Amino acid sequence: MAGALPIGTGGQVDRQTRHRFGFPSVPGMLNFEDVSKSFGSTRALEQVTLRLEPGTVVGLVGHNGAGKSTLMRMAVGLTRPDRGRVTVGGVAVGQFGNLAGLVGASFDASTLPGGWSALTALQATAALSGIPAERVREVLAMVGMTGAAKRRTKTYSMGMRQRLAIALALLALPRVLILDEPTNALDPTACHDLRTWIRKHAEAGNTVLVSSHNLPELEQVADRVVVMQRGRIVRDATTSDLLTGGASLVRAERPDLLRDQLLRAGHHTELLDDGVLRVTGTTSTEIGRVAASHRLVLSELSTERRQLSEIYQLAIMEGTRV
Amino acid sequence: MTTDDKQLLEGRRAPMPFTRLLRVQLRAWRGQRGMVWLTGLAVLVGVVAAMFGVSSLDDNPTAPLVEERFGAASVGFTLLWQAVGVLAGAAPFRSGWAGMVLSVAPRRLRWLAASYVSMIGWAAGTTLVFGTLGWAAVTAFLAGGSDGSGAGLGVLGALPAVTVKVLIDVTVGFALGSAARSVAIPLMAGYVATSFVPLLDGPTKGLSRLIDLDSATEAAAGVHTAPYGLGPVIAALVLWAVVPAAIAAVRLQRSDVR
Repeated sequence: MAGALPIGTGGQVDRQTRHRFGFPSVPGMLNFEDVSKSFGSTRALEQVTLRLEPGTVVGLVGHNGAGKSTLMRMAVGLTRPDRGRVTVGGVAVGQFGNLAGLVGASFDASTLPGGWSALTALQATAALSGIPAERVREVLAMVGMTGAAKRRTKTYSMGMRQRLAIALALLALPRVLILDEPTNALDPTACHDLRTWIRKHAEAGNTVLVSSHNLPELEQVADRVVVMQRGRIVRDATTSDLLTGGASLVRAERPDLLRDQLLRAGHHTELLDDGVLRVTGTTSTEIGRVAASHRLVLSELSTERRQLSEIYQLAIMEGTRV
Repeated sequence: MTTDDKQLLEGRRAPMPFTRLLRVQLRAWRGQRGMVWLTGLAVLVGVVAAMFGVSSLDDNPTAPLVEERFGAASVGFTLLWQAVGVLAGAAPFRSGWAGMVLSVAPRRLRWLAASYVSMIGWAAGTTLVFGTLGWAAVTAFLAGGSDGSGAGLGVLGALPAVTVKVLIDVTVGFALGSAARSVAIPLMAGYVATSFVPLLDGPTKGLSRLIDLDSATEAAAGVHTAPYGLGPVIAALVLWAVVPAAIAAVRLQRSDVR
């Protein structure tokens, strides 16, 4: 029976398949189980449950103060939950004595030691993680900072500090990579490089959790998007489901006739100004079937692709109503 | 989850080796320019002050006399160690280093202990350098006298007391700095507030004895005897070192680390 399981990335598809086949669900690589946290009277997180599988990139979005950073800091134990628990590979984060190679994180790049050079910061972290010195040169080259490696970080631009923070997180090639707003202050080329590193890291079977306000960037890199608002998760779905879960767009030789037939079949259909039919609540296959059964010729059938920013706004509005 | 993952998960339950934490922390101190400068300044001021102290001796100084003068003059060296300790205690929280290290080695108290031990090692090593430089300078200075080299050994006699004073000062500074996670308040407490202790002599003599860190340090170093017994010495050391260290430990365990 196990042979029937597809060999995949260990992501959402595998999880659903395991469930369908009646297999017990394996623990995700990074789990937040019913996690709550308050700072004084401010509730930063409220009963958040989130499970991240190996081989996936999960994007975390939300307004400032939504609880994203608090959640991410819990993955390395810098913030401790008041309730619930955070586990890596089924083991509570608090039980680890050494997270090198297991979880790597980049948080606020502005808090890097200003008196140190990038080389000092990386060498110290490498020594702490038990990583050979060659790896320091490797990551410096990877983030394009070899030339500035010996300068003190207080002389760096924000973009350079961000690149150093990413290098520090990637130094030990962690199984779980946490990046808190990594595209802040990065130039377009560096953003492109970052997307490539993140995808490569996930394709190697690692788990990546990345928060960002740059939704078009996130749309390109994340397999799954989690929207947070006021310490709660208000939307959690795969990126493809989110972006293509809208309407079908149909161009036909006789759009008026097709519209009538689709309406008769119970599908919400509207004729747009450019002669395109926008059909919701059904699949492309069903539209094709209706058209074929009435011998109507289709010249174009596509799925309307929505922007992540639209979905985000919608999720936030729904969350506010809740 | 692969076999490698399982091995990694099991292997990572063990705490970070203490010696590795020590080595990395020493590397961190070396990268902390303020601390390197303060340490260098302490050695320089100490050696110059010791030379002045010894230069006022007569033509045939004896080792005990050199020991006494060198010990008294080495206040120039010991003076700055509380500030070094404060910097060492507070800087990791202000610079982001605490967050960096604890996101790799999450056992917080273990890291705090390693920071403290490495700081003690740093202070003891520097005191040894100061002693060696002081001995070389004093010996060279007294070389013209009849018993120059023998009298120079007085420097070595003064070193144990100097070392104890440095270690107490750096401990107090470190405890205050890591409890407050700032530099200004501990420096005010350590240098300014302690100066007002004698003002309490009139109304509350008993209380002033209990909080007089300078007298307690002198007594612990064996420079002066403790006129009121060991009680006030221990009380002052507990107040200035143990209490802030306990606050630092509790705060580190309970609060978020940035």
